[in-house]
Amino acid sequence: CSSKAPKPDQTIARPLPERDELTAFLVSGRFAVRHGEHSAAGGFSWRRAPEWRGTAANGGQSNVAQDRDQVFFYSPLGQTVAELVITPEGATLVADGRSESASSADTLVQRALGLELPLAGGADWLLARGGEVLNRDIAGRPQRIEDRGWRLDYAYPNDRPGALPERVVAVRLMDDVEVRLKLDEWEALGLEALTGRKP
Amino acid sequence: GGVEKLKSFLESTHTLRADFSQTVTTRSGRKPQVTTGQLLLSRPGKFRWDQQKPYPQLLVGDGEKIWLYDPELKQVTVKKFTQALSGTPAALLAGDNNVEKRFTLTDLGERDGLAWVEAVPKQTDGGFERIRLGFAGDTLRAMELTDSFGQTTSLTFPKLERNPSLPPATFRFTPPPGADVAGE
Repeated sequence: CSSKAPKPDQTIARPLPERDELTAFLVSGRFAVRHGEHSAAGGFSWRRAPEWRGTAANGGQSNVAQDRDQVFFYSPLGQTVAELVITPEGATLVADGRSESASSADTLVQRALGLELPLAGGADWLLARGGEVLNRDIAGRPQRIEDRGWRLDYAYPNDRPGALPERVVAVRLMDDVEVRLKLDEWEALGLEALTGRKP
Repeated sequence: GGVEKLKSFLESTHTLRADFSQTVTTRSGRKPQVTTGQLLLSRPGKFRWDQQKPYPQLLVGDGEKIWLYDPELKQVTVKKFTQALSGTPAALLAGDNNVEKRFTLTDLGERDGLAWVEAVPKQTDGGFERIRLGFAGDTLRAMELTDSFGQTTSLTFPKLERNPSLPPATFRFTPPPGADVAGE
């Protein structure tokens, strides 16, 4: 029996793995922030790929893969405003030719760009992971999660259980900062990202 | 050369209506993004960037403020004109005629059948490191913008009309119902 063919996930050359299995990806989209009377908007692209770090472990040298996020922020007029890199060690932001580092990405971005963005959950929050799933939609996907003082609501482009989110509305509970995200294009990163070797 | 063409283009162009096609290639590995729409100008200070594809986005500079309306995010963002604009193509094209006050101009000669000029913003907080403009005869045909992160944006104007009559409402922005407006 042929079930209704699901609307294909955004036009992605590489078939997208299920949401819960995606580990390395590149997503580009837009954000709009409202905090009382203050507002800001722009574009972003978020690239998560493991970074291979040589670590000396019990006498031997071993390569450990740790997650590395590279995020570009764009102005509505299209030029790149800042580059943010997040690793387990901390966050570094380059803007106006200056580089700053801090332990947490959201305080760094707030200080350097004046933007209140839901970065505390990192890439997980783009994939509806983390914190407590308060409810799920009929296809069993997380519709609302609450994590580290933020409440995030997710909307998906089709009814596939493994679909990737298309819209996120994130509200910071303590002061009602509201951030709307539109995730325009998802792309799974291939072998070279996962193994660090060119295919 | 290109510098004279840019100056005479700006001096003789009071209003402008053009279809644009913009391609952005970034270092992030993202596929080049092509956006298309319409650019309207009324110099000095007023512009309308009406993008339709791949998603609708409207920017209106009314001379005092810049309004950004993103229908999908249902939000209007307002910024003061100066702060958001210096060193951007809109500032160059919609700015006053004294372009050399804000940009250093250099002739780049002929390429792809166009006479090119490079404009380097004197203040770099606008984010663009340099803006190149290509002229066919005395008509602007292309722009190339490089920002300080190595991203290049190239714009072509397949259709460009100089000095059309544009109703004043073109450069006024009225927030659509349902969109919240917030901004300085």
